[in-house]
Parts: sequence; structure tokens; C-alpha cells
Amino acid sequence: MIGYTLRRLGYGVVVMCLVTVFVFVIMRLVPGDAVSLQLQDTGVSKEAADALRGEFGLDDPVWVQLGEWLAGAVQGDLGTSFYNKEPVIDLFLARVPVTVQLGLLAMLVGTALGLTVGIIAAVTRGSVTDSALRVFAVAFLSVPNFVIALLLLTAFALWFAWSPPLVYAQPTEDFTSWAQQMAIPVFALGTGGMAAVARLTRSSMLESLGSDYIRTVRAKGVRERTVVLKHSLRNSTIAVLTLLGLELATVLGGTVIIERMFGLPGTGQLIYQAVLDRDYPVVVACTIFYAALFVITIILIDLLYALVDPRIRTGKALS
Amino acid sequence: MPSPPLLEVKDLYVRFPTPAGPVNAVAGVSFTVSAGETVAVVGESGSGKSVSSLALLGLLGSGNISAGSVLLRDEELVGAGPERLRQLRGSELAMIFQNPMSSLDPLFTVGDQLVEALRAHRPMSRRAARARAVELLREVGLPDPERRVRAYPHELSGGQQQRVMVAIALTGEPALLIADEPTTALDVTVEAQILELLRTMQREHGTALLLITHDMAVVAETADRVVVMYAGRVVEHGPVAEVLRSPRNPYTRALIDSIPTPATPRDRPMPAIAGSVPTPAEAPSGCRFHPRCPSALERCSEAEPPLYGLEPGRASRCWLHEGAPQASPTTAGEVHHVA
Repeated sequence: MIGYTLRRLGYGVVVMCLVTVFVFVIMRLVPGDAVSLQLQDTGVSKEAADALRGEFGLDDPVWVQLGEWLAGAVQGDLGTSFYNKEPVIDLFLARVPVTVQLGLLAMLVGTALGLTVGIIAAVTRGSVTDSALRVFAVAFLSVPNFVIALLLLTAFALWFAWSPPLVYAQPTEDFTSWAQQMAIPVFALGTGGMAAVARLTRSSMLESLGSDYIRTVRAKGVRERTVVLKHSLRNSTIAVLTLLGLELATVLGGTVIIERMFGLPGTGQLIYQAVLDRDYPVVVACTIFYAALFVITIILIDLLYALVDPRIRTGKALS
Repeated sequence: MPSPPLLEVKDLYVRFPTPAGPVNAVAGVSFTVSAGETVAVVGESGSGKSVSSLALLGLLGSGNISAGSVLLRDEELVGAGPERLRQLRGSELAMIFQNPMSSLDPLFTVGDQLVEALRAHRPMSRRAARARAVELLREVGLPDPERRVRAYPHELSGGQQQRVMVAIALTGEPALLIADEPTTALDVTVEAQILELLRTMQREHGTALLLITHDMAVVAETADRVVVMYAGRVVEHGPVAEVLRSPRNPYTRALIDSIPTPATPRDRPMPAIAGSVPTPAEAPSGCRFHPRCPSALERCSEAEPPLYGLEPGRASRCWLHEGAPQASPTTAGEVHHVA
């Protein structure tokens, strides 16, 4: 079990290194840089621009820039923004909580609703309820989250003359305002995951409900609620856990658009603006953050597999 | 009749929905099991023997009992609510299955699965249930039960898993244990051990055993009476020794002839019944066995023979016995000889 954990952590570190190098290099291959974008309509001389590039270190070869950046990064210095000259780490830390709140809540809501819908559909298979829930799931799976967000915004504005507050408030200072602002983004981001989890839960529960071991549990005279919620659901969690890892990527991608739509000051907004501005240090820091979030989640999911399934714990492959 | 039977199945029909309309996988099956008795139900795959046994417990997936009666100690189980059937399962009626390797939940320890069964029917502390679980594992001959109670199914061999299944079946001290091909997936040596275990359990607890099998050798070793099924019908039944010595139905004879013996010539293919069991949807006209029957007459394809009562306790469904009195479907076990 310890070996298993260490191996997973090792993979995580390798992935993080590759992501860092890749993003660092690819950003510099994109045409235009921060200096030319900042100065494009100001009529500043080429010499002045080159001087600025020198100041940012943009005239060094990419691998020299990478080396210098890495030397700083290992000491906790992620560089300074090319724009407002603030340390990247400060810009970034101010915005992380919003994205983490948004992403975590969206995943939680999506998973909880998805499991509920999936279980109901599985135990009522073939019924009207089942068909309705499946249509519902396909609809949510097909419509992009920003469209759902727009529809919700419009619906609330039109029918209830209500729209979420525009200025973000920390949940610790004004919880009501925070909750009002987060409600639609969280739901919109969570729906895709909800639909996917619901469909997968339904199909894997149907598979397990028809299995030999469920027949044994039923032959023991155990209550049907226990059959479904203890045995069938637990046996379906492996598949659902795998899906949650993939779902996180979708949710994190979604935060970029949704944060922008709702004016939420998260890392999604930050990276969006930084890419447009070619603000390399900020882009790299944000990307590493997203990658780290993803890698950590995947490791957690791998550890959860082992927690759920004793066959993985003892190193015996899944059948 | 000495005593009323423990289980009396009368004229049972089990229907499955198919895209082409409902079909009967079991069509008019009757048999009885007395307390403490071993009755074997034999037949090839597709004869409806497993379906009949699952139907008794209300464990059929999509199919359902469309007609007939199942009496357990005079209580009608056909039409009994799912809650009543649940109460009976694991207490009065227990069942073990063909594939021990897939019949235990892989995510729970052997002990947890026994404790769950123990606590399903009577209030019992977790601690007491745990102790009882170890006792049961010892009783079914699992070595080192104190340690094995914490093992997961994948840490046990197939034979050990089947022993655990027997232990689970014993938790409710059932009056009837249904064993559906309990040894088919196991090695021959393990098969002998499991059959011996079932016999011991039966002797010590007085449990009646309904043994579903396709293996005549297992029948010969284990059962008191045998019910032979073909394509959803009972074609012959009677005491095991008599049926094996002098099978009356051509199908039973063919089954017995296909058991290899030391005298079976090694240079020729093993004797087997040509063809296969028809699916319920494509059951032939007349006698369902006639296309494969060596003694088929012309009329066998035209009309299905009734179950004829032969000597006491024996019956066979074949036109060869024409003239014998018909066995009443309601008392298949003890055939009435109507004058």
C-alpha cells in the first residue's frame, strides 16, 4: 500500500515537471510577446522596446529563461507579472480560493445529484421515471455549461427579476451574497458532471444488480435497500471514481469561462487575461496550479480505488 | 403418504418476456421434497431446472411464475409478497450457486457477508454474529477460521469460496437448501469434498436438499429421488436407485448412457446425445424430445405424451408407456394409481 502510494506520487511529480517545461516553451512560441502587445500603439521606439525585453529577460534563449525561472521557482519565487510588476505568487494566491470553491462545489453538487439520479434510474429501470431521467441526463450532457449558465441567468432575471450580485464577496465576510453569487455558476459547472455520473451510475448499477454476488445477497434475505445502497452502489463506485477524475478536467476548464461570465475573481479570469497579454510568468504559474490540482485529484482517486476495492489493495489486478 | 411434503411444486409455469412474445421456460413442472430428503433435478443446460429453483425463491430477474403453485409447509409462495419471500430467503429457504468465484461480493470480507446474513433475520449483536460466523466457517471445514473470517473472497480458492457459500446458507438453519450446480465450476477432488460437506450438513441439521445438476454421477452419489427435466418439462421421476438401474424414459436412458465408465471404449468418441435442447421459443410439436429420440414413433411428433404413472413412486412421459395410468400432476412425488 505504501509502495502503491509512493509510485503514484512519483508519477505525479514527473507529470508536473513535463507540464511546466511544456507550457514554458509553448507560450514563447505563440506569436507576439508582452512588450509588443503593451507598446503596439504607443509609437515607442524599437530600441526602447528591446530595452524592456532585456529587462524581462525575453531576449535570452528559451532554455536560459527556463533555467532562471526554475532557479527562482524552487526558492518559491514564481517571478513578477510583466504588467503590474506584482509578484505572481501574490496575484495568484489572492485568486486561488475562488476557483477552488467553485470547482469543489461544482464537483460535489454534480456528484451528489448524479449519484441520486443514477440510483433512482437504476432501480426504476424501464419505467417512465427512468426514461425521463435519461432524457434529462442526455440534455445536460449535450448543452455546454456556459449556455446553461446563460439560460439560468436569463430565466431568473425574467421570471423572478433576480440576478446574482456583481461584486464577489468572501464567504467569511458576507455569506449570503457569496452564496447568491456562486449558486448559478456552481450549478452550471456541475450539470455536465451530474449527467455523466448519473448515466454511468445507472449502467454500472444495472450491471452489478444482475450479477451473481447480488443474487447471493438477495438469497440471504437482506432488505432490498441494503442490496442497492450497500452492495450494488459500492461495486459501482470504481467506475464512477474514474469518471470523476476526468470530470475534474472539464470543470477546471469550465471555470475559465464561467468566472469570466460571472465576474468571479478566480484563477480562471487571471489565466484568461494573462494569455491575452502574453504575461508568461502568470500563465505558467496558473497552468502549473491547474495541473497540480488535477494530478493531486488523480492520486487521491487512485488511493480511493484501493480503499474501496481490496483486490487493488493487495496488488491483485481488477478482473 | 407418511407425512406432508416440505415443499410441493404443482404444475409450475415460468414465463419470460422475449421480443417475440412471452415464452415458457418451465411448463407444468411438479415435484415434491420431503423434510430431510435429497431430491436431484437433472437435465441438460436449458432444461429449465435452474429457472424453476430461482422461481421458488423469487429470485428470477425478468421472468415470473405465470401459473402453478409452490407450497412450503402448506404456505402458498406463488403470489406471496416480496417482503414475505425475503423473510423466507435465508431462513427457511437457502440457496447456493454454480459459480462460487463470482457469488461473493468482492468488496466485503467473508465475515462481513456472514454477519450480514446472520443479522438479516434475527436481532444479534455484531460481536455475537462475528463469533457465530467463525463457528460456521469451522463447521464447513474452512481451515483457520479465525483468520479466514477477515479474508476477502479473492483470497480464497473456489472450493473455499463454495464452503463459505454453504456457511452463509446455514446461517438461517434452513429447512430446504437449494444447490444449483454447486460443483460444476470446481475441480473433481473439490467436487467430492463439497458433496460430502452437503451430505454432512444434511445429516446434522436435517436439512432437505434440492440438488440441481446435469451430472448423473452426482445424482447417483447424493440423491434419494431424481426428477429428470427436458425443455421445461418433467420427463421422468422416481427413486434414484431404480431410475438409474432401469430408466424408463428414452431421455433418461440417453443421459445415463452418456456417463463414461471404465468400460467405455477409449478409441471412440464419448457417447453423447446428438443435437441440443430446443429453446422455449422453438419447442417442437408433440414430444419435446422426439427430434433427438432414438425410439421416436410417428405419433411422437404429433402429440405430446402425458406423464404416465408406472410402479409406485415412478413416472415417465413417453408414448412407450401408453396404457399405463396417467400420473396426476398434483401429486407427482407420490403417483396415484387411478384404476
